[in-house]
Amino acid sequence: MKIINFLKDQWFALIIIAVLIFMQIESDQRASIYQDKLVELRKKIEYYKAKDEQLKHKIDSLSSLDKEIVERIKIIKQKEYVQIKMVDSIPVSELQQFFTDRYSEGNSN
Amino acid sequence: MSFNSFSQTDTPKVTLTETEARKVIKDLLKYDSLKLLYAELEQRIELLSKKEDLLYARLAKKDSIIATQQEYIDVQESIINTKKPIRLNGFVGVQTFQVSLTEPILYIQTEVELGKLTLGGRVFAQPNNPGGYGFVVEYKIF
Repeated sequence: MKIINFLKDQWFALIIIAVLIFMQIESDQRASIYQDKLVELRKKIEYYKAKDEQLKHKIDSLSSLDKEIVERIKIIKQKEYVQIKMVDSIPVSELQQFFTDRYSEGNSN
Repeated sequence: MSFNSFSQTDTPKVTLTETEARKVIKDLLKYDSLKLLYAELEQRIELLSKKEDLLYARLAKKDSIIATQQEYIDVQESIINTKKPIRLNGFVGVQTFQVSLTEPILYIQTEVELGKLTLGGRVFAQPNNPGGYGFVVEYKIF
């Protein structure tokens, strides 16, 4: 009886406690949903970072290939320069030979 | 000086001087070199296009990372707001009747903030009058 009387007297306090407990439980549930979402987002970020790293490696490999091409272009230009310089000094017989070799039968260049 | 090696017997002859022949050879060498350069440059253009595509793809990935990180921050903020601790306040105060210091009410108040709602209790005492206690319920307007 005493307990019932106490509850009757303190009904307002009990309502407040009940509301607080309800709010706490609801807040925990919401926080748990958000935590799951955070884990999901973290995974998503990791996935994007891994993809980005892969792309970075691909770009790096293409850059090194580009350097090789630039090097080959330099060599072609150097060769051209040397060959053109040599033309001034080669004898006439070699000039004739050049045309013979270049425009021999079957060579359409 | 003339060159017979490239002339044909059944077609009209073309005669070049030595200087002209050297110039022609130089031009031909340049032509050969340009053909090689063209092939290399075509390869380079293809490579650079691929690189451009990859860079765009990387940019898109970076944007995705930034957007996801922003989303992450938003969720974290939501958690902070959800887990906002209940604020407990305590006050000691004096309340007067009108603009006068006669028989002021002295009180001690404790309260709990629940968002816009404040719930609390107040114990008060007044000279010449019996003291007492009561509940305080407030709603924040601004």
